[in-house]
Amino acid sequence: MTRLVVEDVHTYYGTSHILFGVSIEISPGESVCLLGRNGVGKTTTLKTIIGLARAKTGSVRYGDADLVRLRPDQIARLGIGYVPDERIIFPDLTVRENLEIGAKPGLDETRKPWSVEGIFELFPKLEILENNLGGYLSGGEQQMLTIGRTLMGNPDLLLLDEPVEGLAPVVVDELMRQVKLLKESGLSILFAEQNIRFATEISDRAYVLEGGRIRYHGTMQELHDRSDVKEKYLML
Amino acid sequence: MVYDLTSLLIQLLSGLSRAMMLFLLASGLSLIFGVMNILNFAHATLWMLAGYLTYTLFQFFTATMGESGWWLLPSTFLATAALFALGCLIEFVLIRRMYDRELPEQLLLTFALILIIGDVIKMIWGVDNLRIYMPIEPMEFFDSFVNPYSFVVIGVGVAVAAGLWWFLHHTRYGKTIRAAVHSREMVSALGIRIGAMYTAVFGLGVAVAAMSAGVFLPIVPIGLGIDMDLIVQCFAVVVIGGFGSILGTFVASIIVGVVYSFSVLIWPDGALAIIFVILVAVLIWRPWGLFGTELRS
Ligand SMILES: Nc1ncnc2c1ncn2[C@@H]1O[C@H](COP(=O)(O)OP(=O)(O)OP(=O)(O)O)[C@@H](O)[C@H]1O
Ligand SMILES: [Mg+2]
Repeated sequence: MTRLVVEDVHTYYGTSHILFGVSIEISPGESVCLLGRNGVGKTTTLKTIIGLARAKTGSVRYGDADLVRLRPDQIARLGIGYVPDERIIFPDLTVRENLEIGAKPGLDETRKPWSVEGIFELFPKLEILENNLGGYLSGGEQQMLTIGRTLMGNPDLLLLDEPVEGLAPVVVDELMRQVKLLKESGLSILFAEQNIRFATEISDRAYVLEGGRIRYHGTMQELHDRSDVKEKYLML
Repeated sequence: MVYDLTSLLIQLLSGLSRAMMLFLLASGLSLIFGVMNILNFAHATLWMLAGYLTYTLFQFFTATMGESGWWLLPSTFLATAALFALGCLIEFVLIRRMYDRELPEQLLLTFALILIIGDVIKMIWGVDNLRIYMPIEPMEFFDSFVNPYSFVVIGVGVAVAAGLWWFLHHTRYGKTIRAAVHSREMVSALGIRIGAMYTAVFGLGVAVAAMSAGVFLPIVPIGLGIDMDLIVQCFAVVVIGGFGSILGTFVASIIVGVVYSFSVLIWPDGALAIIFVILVAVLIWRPWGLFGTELRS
């Protein structure tokens, strides 16, 4: 099984220094959240892992692989799936075609591979929309499609960037239930989130980020007892 | 001059053949721009190179194995394959470095290619116009005589348009290409090798152009400078149709081809000007082209 180890990572966009020595570890089957307010570097951390942003120094290891030297497509083929916060649906492909684009074999042979029908079972709403163009979906449907499309690549570790941001409360509940099912199926999840309530539902441990630095890490239980940390760094 | 129905039909036929040539050239240009955001100024120059190559292969075949118009088939095929390989090589060695550059820099590089390829052609083939003579009997068509080869040309154009459309809409590879038009980063994060795909798309675009050079050799003599003439009209076609849309490129090719061919009949000096009037009108009315999408992220 594969472990993700992010160690002392510094990431820049051009000349602006965004991450200042971020370190994170995720063991197989673990569900970990990355908490913090707007603009603290959550998305940048996920992008650094999937290779869409480059760490200038520090290392990102996944098993034996050094991800800093790899392209996003190579990292994805190692079994890391990325669900961006912008929900980048391919608008002129249908829902089914969007899912099919994501299809690739997984590395873990013990796990049953995902099929379009399997995704429809997890997200029944998508089945009804099967032949609709991706450009005409609601926010919640788009989010389900984005997650489903990434699952089609049979990842072992899922990077989820604020999946419920901006969605209506009923949709949030539905989506959180579905993500929980994924966690229970044994998928490792790194979940970027601002809201500690959602994070608690699916995470075992938390890293709290502020100003591009990890300010706190511990189990969700421990974090709940740290009102000082919560008040200082989180949105309550 | 009398404008009777037959002469109009003949003009229409010639317009449609011209339209097909423009389409085969412009579809590659539009595909490459739509997918990779690269404006390949040298596209028509590569087309011209393919024409010279086809010509030489055709001469070789007829000289060694006897005269026959059918030699155009293997000659075109071989030249198309060679240009596909050259296209892939150009993408891999040069174009690849330009993806994050500004448009003027892209134009500079592809303009340099025009000059280099032009000089290579001058060294190898000289400056004379070349064409292939096909022993084809004119065919009677509504009380008049037309070159039946026009129908071959139109057929090839329609077949390639249908083939490209089918490839882009009904194959996994084609759909991935369309997805990459929208977001290269997302496609790459899904595990797809964008680099290899870009190389193949560039090669494919050049190959479609190369094929048309061979198909048109019996009716369009090839000569230095013809590339500049064509690239300008191709840009007009692509802008009118909307970048990245095969259907748009097809429709715009027909508009430009037919309008040009009728304008030549009525006002030869103003034919190109009329094309540009259409271009400007489309740009004012729909800046993203007839079939293009308004926004790209
Ligand atoms: N492409 C970019 N170029 C320059 N700066 C950027 C870029 N993207 C993000 N930033 C900056 O990097 C910092 C971290 O951004 P990031 O998107 O990682 O934060 P975040 O924690 O995901 O925020 P949010 O909760 O709003 O999604 C912010 O200050 C942001 O302005
Ligand atoms: Mg973010």
